[in-house]
Amino acid sequence: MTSMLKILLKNGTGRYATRLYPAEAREPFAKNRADLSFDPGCCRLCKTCSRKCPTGAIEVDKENRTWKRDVFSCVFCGDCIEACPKSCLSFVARPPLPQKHHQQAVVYATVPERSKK
Amino acid sequence: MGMMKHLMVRSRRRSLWMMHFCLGGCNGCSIEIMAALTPMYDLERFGILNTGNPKHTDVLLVGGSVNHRNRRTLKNLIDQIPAPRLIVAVGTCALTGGIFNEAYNIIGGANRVVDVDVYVPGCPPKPEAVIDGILSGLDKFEQ
Amino acid sequence: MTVSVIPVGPQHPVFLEPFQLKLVVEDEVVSEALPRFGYVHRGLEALVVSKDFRQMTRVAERICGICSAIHGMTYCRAIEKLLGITPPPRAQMLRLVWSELHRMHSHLLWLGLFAEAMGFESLFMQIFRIRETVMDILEQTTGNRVIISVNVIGGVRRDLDAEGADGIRRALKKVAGDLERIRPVLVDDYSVRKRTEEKGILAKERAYELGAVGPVLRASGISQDIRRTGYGAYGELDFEPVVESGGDCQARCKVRYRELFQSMDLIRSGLDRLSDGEIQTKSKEKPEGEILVRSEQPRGEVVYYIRADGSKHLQRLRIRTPTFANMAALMDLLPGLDLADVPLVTLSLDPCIACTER
Ligand code: SF4
Ligand code: SF4
Ligand code: SF4
Repeated sequence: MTSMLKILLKNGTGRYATRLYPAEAREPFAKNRADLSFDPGCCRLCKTCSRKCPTGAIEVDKENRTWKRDVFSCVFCGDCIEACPKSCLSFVARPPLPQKHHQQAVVYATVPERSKK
Repeated sequence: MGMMKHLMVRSRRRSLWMMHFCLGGCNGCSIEIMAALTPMYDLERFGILNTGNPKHTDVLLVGGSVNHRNRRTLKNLIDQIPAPRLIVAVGTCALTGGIFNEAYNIIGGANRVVDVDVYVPGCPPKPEAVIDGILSGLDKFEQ
Repeated sequence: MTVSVIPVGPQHPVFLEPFQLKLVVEDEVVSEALPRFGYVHRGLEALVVSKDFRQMTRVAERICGICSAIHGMTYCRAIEKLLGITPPPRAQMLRLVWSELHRMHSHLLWLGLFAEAMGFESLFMQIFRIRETVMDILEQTTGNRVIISVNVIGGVRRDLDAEGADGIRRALKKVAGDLERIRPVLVDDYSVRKRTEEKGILAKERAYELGAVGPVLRASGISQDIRRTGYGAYGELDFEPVVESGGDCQARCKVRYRELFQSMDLIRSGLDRLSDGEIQTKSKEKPEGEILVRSEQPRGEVVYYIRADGSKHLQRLRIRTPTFANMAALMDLLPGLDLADVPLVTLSLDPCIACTER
């Protein structure tokens, strides 16, 4: 009986355990796999990322030079990051924000034309 | 009168009861929902209390994708929850079916069956994201 | 005497996941139990036709969130055997460290839910508070809290630096202290003992006959642990399976509690023996052949059967999960119980429906 009481008393008098989340957000760990960032500047539209993705979240369109990722399908596994030969993709430590509509979920980028060397 | 109404809206925002229901996912999301309820993140700070009874529920957290069997169960549960209700889909599975989308028994995300109010992406989302998701949907209780 | 049928589930406050137990009750005593499954069934073994064998690693990790690292590791081990490659020693050891951390988080989760099933809310909260230390260290070293996705075919994808290793050691010290403090509550507390002792006794012979696995079997006095076969890096470390003889809920609780300390020992000695070097062996081959691989999960023995024909897609993947094996034991335990004990005894076997149904 008293054993739990001891723990509770210690909790009651000790340091506050709760993270006061929205008021004080903790710094995310540097290596967090929370979201992806895409750098359109270096992409060669080679489609490797879209082939390796286990959920089919990435769509690359060579004609229109677009690169799309459906955030709602992505499982943040990082296979595309490892696959990209140009290292255009990287992890971001902050998670994506909750959204209220299903259609907003696409990260869309147009890859700029590069000058031929 | 305005004062009374203001007070009512405020108190309604701060006294919600929630229930979580795990569908056909890996239950990683329900673990994170549990974690959001326990001392480190503590949803009770916002007056959100865990309950097991749909009739007492204001906020339903759905984790996991809908399959041919639990579709009926989910529909049943939703019908028992009195309006206004907030339905939060937690995790990629509940959004689109995620990695299981192509499996034969999966219909898709929770929005195939119910009207989802807030979508929380992540596989699984961190408890912080779950809290964010619930808080961002609270406006629904202000009318 | 009145006979009635009580459906428990699919949505029930005690169970995290949807499954249904139809209990035939005579007065207050259960006379028959009929389980009903399918609420979590996804059919992911059939996904091999649409996903190639590397992508299937991500699917295998998502069979069950609670033992995801070990599912991923077992799948990778199976494919590695088919490809004929061995991961470098450092990768093997890192796999061990992360899977034992996963075991700890699973057992702590179970202890918490068990306390909640007893109605001991403050203990539940306390255990989940301890568990956050483990979750934090998982997040710090791998980037995600539950699905850590470190296993790839041929090794691991994240390295552990000295800082991470120190972090793990510090976290373990903290967890060990906290766990030591709740020991008297779990083992000696009057109300806990009243609630768990002599409840749901699974005799040694019966457990063996029903093919129970993991902590359930060990709580019934049979010393069986697949880690002792020495797969991966487990062969280098020395440990004995944790065995209790009671066979009741209390014994199952003790087994899991002591396994937490065993996992900590394994992690510590694993970190001490961590060798330098590569963390991945690369291979461009495609798997071919048939294989059966076993590992020890937090809940017991998992068996992976894979058949591949040398193409990108596997032909067949079949997984026998420990919770599925324990369901027979559960159905044997329930008849004869008081209705009030049903949630507790069901939980004491640690049912994980996502694993059971896949
Ligand atoms: S992180 Fe994984 S799921 Fe997401 S886009 Fe990349 S490969 Fe696809
Ligand atoms: S992001 Fe990388 S892998 Fe994907 S198309 Fe661009 S260059 Fe290729
Ligand atoms: S979103 Fe990810 S963690 Fe959540 S249930 Fe689905 S597979 Fe599991």
